[in-house]
Amino acid sequence: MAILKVENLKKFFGGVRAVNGVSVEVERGEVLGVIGPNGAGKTTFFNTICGVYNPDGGKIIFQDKKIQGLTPFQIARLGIARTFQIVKPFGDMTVLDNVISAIGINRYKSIWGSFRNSRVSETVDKAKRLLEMVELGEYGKEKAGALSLGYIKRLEIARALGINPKIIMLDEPCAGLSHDAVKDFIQLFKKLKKEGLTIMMVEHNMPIAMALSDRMIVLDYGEKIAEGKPKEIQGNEKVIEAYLGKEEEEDA
Amino acid sequence: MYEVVVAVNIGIFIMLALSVNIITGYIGQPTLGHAAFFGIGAYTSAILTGKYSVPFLLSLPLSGLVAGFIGALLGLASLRVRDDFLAITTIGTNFVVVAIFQYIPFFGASLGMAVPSAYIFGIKITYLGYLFLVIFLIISIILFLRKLEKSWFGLAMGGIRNNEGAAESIGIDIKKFKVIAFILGTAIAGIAGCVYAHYMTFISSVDFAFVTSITILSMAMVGGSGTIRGPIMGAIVLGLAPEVFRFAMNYRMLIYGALLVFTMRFQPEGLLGERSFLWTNINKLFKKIYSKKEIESGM
Amino acid sequence: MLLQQIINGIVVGSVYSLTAMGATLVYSILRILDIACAGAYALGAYVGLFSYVATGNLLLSFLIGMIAMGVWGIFVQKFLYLPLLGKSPLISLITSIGLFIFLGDFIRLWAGPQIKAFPADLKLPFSGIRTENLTIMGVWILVLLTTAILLFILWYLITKTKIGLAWRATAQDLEIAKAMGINVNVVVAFNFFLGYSFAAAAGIMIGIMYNFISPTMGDVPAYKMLAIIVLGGLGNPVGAVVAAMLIGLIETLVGGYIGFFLPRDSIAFIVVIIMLLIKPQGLFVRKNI
Repeated sequence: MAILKVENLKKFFGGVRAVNGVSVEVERGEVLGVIGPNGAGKTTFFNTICGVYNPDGGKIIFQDKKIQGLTPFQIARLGIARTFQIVKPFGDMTVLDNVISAIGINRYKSIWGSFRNSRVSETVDKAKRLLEMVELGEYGKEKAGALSLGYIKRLEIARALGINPKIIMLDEPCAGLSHDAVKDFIQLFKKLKKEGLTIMMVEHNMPIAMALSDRMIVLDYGEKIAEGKPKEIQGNEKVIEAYLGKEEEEDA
Repeated sequence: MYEVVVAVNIGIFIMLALSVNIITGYIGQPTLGHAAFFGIGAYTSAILTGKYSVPFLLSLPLSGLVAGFIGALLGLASLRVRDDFLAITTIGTNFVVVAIFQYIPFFGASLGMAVPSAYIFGIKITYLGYLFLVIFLIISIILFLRKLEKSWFGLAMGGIRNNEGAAESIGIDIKKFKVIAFILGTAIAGIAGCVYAHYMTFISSVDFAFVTSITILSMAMVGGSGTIRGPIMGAIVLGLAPEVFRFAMNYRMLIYGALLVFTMRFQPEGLLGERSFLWTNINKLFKKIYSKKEIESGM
Repeated sequence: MLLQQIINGIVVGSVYSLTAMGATLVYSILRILDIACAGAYALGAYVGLFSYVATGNLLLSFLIGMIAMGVWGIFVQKFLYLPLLGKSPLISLITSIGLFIFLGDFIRLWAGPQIKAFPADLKLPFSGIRTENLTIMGVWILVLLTTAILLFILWYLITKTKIGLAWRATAQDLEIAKAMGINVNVVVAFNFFLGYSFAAAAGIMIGIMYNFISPTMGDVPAYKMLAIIVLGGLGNPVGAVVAAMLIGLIETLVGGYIGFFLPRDSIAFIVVIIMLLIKPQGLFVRKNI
């Protein structure tokens, strides 16, 4: 059962076709990896699905509902969570508040409802549990902006989980992480998978992407050039050419 | 008697500083023309009570409503115009509003406007009465702000203040909250304006110029942006300074300018901000006293 | 009559463009709205006046005023603005306003609150032109010429020299320029020296043109310049000049012909507000996006 269907999605910036007719279906509970050389349009693809950009063509169907053209906050309320390639913590708020703010996703709908107390024990406990899950339990009272990058990335995941999403989109979760931090992330990822979450992941780190994904799609110049299980992608000529070709360009 | 006058003035400043802090300190939008809404509230009440015999108790909330309505327009503008451009738009709004009060005869033009005395249930409000009124209003505002800080609204504002993109990704409707924050901040300023008008019994456009906006904003920022204690302290310090430093009256503006520069340079979060020298040391002191008490009671 | 007003407007616009150039240059590099630049405008006028009284030489007075304010600019950026880089824009704004207030009062305490004027025997290098339809005062020619020369120097420095190249890189992205080995500190110092010296020149010219200087002479320009640089597209020097000319012309023409029912000084802000609601990025988008 496909939870998310992307049909012929297009996003242009002036003359640049950042996303040029990409289609893919994501099954409930699976991990879909999105890879491709630099500039392939992976983050634009993510941003368009999440509503940050308005698509110039195509459809996005989430749980049988058309969501293309909706605003990011509407899409979040429908159950799509995301993290960011360049981290966006709520820096001057505490780590705990960062997560609590996400849990209140349904409270923000009505003006009256939003005036209610956010620090009820139910919410605080849930936030603490999420922080425990990402192993940030002791840092609840720290200001989010004071944490190191690896911890902030984990916080983003906890925050994203706070909205009780049906699908979570991770944008380069391993970018800029040290070797140890990547290992920690893999442990966390396994926990997420155990929860039965559907996960879409843009990842530049090929071995990680291959190891963690159930299926993968490969983007190049805004188009999908391959799709399949990691083993199939590994041997795919077009994929190798895309990456190699880019290397040659960069060397030139 | 004189002390009461000073206290009421500072009280009005406290209300104004707390109100501007909602927009700048809580939701992080630059608003450099807040005195315009102070003025809108003042003139609204002056006209309602003066020309239409509306009772004070009714014109008080109405002043807030009118100011809040115009504030909503500014809030809508803030959705379209960002950051530095917004800052300048707010300055421009201040200038235009003051110009309207200054030049249009309906508002008394440059002669200003006399404001009738305020009566509550037939009793004229005295200076002391205004003090009680102002204290009552300040306490109400503080209670409201405390509720705001702990509420989902407060978290939404924090999200928007820190990172709008991330706030959206957790379901926060940025536009809605920005406009409401503007309404809240400007409405409270309008209410302060109403009190000011009847207290002074005379208002003119000069009272609400850009200079006043900067005074209000600097009270909030020098005191401690984004807190309740900050604007209160800032209003008291900057409001009392001319009284305390009467002997240096001639150097008033020099000292004020230098204070702004040095505070922003060395304590940008405000004198009572989260990480300020004063606040961290006050906290340390309290912890020391508290733990001493614990040890003593344990014995 | 119309031609006369247009010439008036261009003269006013020229002074505005020099005054606004300081704020524009500061914004290009540091992304800070510098209201204190108008402090250099006022202070520069006073230094210029006192230099003229002391030396009797107009050119020398200009130079002294400009260099003095240029040096002041270097001081201000080093101890005030550079350390505040990266903080919330409200913080640098309040700082700059505080500095402006301080300077205004400093002038009042130092030179006295009364209006001062340049000596009556001030010899201008140009005499005016008078035809039956037009009057062009000598001081106007001075203003136009000085503005043209200074803007030309600015243009040359920025487009044709090595430091200009460094300036352009820093204006695009300060961090990357730093990473590429550009000595950003020198660029910022250079930037402030230029900007503040231009403001000083504008202040001196206004003093001569209207025959008075006062401690509060910077009040209106401080805020009007903000409106102008926004109109021109924040950080865009060319845009600032065009916007300055535009505002100068509109103020003169509207004031002269229509007898506006709101004060002249609010025209700049009204134009800006209308413009921003239509085109939130400013008339000219920043050149280097």
